[in-house]
Amino acid sequence: MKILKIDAGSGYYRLDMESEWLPIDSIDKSGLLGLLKLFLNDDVEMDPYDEEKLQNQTHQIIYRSISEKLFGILDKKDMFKDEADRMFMAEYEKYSQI
Amino acid sequence: MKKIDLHIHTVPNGTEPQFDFDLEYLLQYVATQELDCVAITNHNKFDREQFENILENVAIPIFPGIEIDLEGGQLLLISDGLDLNGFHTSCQQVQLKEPSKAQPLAADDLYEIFGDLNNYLLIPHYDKNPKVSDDVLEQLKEYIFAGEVSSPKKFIYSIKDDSRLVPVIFSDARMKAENASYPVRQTYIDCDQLTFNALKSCLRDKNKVALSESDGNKLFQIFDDGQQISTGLNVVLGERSSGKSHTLRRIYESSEHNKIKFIQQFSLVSSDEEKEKDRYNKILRDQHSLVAKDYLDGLQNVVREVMDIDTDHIQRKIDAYLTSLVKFAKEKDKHDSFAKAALFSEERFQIRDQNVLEQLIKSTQNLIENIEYKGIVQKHVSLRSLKSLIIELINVFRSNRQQNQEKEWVNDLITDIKRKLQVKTAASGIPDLDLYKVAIDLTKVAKFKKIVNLAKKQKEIVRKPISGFEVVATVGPFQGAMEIKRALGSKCAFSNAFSNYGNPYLYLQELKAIDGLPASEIHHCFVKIDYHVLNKDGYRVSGGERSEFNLLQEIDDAHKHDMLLIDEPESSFDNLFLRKEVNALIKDISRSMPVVLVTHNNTVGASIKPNYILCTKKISNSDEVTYHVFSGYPTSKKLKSVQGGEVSTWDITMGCLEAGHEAYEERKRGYEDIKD
Repeated sequence: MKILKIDAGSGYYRLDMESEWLPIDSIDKSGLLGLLKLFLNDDVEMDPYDEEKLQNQTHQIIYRSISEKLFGILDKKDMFKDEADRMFMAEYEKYSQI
Repeated sequence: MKKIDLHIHTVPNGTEPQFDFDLEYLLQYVATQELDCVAITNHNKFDREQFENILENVAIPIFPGIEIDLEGGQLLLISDGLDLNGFHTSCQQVQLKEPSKAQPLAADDLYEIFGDLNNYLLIPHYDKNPKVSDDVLEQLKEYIFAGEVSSPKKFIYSIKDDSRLVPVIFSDARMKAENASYPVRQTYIDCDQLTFNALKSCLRDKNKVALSESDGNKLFQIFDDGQQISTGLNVVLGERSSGKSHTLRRIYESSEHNKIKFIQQFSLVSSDEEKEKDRYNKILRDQHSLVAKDYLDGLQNVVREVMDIDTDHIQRKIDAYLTSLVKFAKEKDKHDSFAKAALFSEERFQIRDQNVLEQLIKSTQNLIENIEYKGIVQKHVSLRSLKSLIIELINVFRSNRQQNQEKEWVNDLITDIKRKLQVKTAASGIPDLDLYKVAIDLTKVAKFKKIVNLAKKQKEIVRKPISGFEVVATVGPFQGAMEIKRALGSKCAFSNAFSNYGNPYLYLQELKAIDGLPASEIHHCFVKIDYHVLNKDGYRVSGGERSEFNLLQEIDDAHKHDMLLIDEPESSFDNLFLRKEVNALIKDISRSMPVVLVTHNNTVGASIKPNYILCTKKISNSDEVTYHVFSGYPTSKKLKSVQGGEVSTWDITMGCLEAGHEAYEERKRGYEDIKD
């Protein structure tokens, strides 16, 4: 599923297949969290940042930051889960054998 | 009886100050103290050349030895001297290993180096620091029957207790010319011919060792002129300026100060109320560890929590936040596209820590793993339930953790984007403010004020019976800056801070600003703790009773030492009291350690029934003035001095205690008259 796109000079995002594409400058923190979760759990597509295609300066700033940060963890998608699973590892192993 | 010293140093040990061995001093030592046998025992080494030189010059039997750092303590290993070569070689092996307190030898090393230990005399530091541990004593028990102690008190203790080794006491002295006097610590043994084997045989038998030549363990030597005192109670009498206090001081100097308890004249009374308080505080803190620390610990935790909260700073942050929020709202119409972006005015996610859940998991783990109370725990909650509980808690923890990590990631992104937008826009941004933290901090400050005010309320916190008295600890507010200064023993000035004493939070800020006041001491500045001593009728003690209490404490403290010296206790008390309780106390402690009491009070002197009497006398003839000490048992008719002089016991007693024979008769008649 595509979650980020550039169209007619503006940046857009969406959080599921059924909803509309929303302008990137309207995204708030729950929107960012939503994008992150999608990115971690599914195979998603994102248009890469392109300064020429994206003319709106505000959009440029926001789109660039988001896509760069997401691309940055492309090969580390499990890192949050792995880090959490490391907590109390020994105890978990020990006591899950009932 | 033969007099022996088997612990003598002629070579410095590397960590102590250097000294040069003085053969002449050693010879004089042997001669003046009339020794019959010695051993040379240097730390972890044996100087063969030096030993052979000493051998040529000393007429009495002298054995080669070595003092070894052995697992936990030190041990003397003495050889019969027949195979000096062999002994020298073995000692070289010890020296090569460079043993020290940090890296001592082990018992096994001894076997390896010296072979059959039956060929040697092994004497560990027994009741003397550094002590050899019980484990090592156990390992070497086949070869050890005597142990070195450091005082007559400890000597007698080992004699009396059947389970303990045969005690021996030696000088452990350095043979150097600079010494002011000769050592007086030696042991007497009941031995005819002083051969190595005879020596060993004697040291197996407690009946064959003693502190004195002809008085068994009743007396021991105190000065190098031969003067002896009793291992029990000694009373020192003498006219004014005859040298009583001087003698007492000489005794004090004869041993390590921290081993002797010296109760000086007038030290039991104090006319200064404040000094008395300090004394009580010290006694009660050190000896009875009263609750002061417990009471203040809670306060310390609270202070620590609030220490870094700056309410002014918090207020400024709130003001800045509100101002920019309002401004932002007012300017909304003029906002450019940057300022209109949702993220421009977005707030970060609040991330809550998981301390509580973490503690809960650990507690559950504790319940599962505890062995001591397993039965009780599992009577009420099955192991299966506990295990599934902990698994679920861990799962929640992990899930929260993952969400927190994701939120942190988003927060970083928000910060990044906001910053970039801020650069471009003309509008003013809204600073981040963690309102939750603000609320918590302000609540902490409010609670702090409440707690301090409660802690300050005047009340009694502990009552404890001590030696027939009652010590009461009360808390209350400080009345002035001086009181705080005194309570802390600090050089800092508290007057500025004290003007805010009524407002705990402001007061705390002032205290933080005081130069030289460590943060760890601040919690002591809020509440005053006072101690009072009450007598058995429940009233505050009078001056005399205070002296009594002080004396009781001092004597109690004396038990930790090897000897007790008391200088004219009558200066601190009235007569009647002194006879009953104090006598009993002093007599009691003299059963376990030597006590020397200087007095010219007849109540004390005569009625306390000392074991030994010493009498100081100043003798002036035309040429010069000399000071003498005459001593003997109270039952003997004559007291003798080391120089050979004699005085009559009766004369002395009359002179010192009764102010002369006539005065005695007069007083006796006086009492007879008023007797019914």
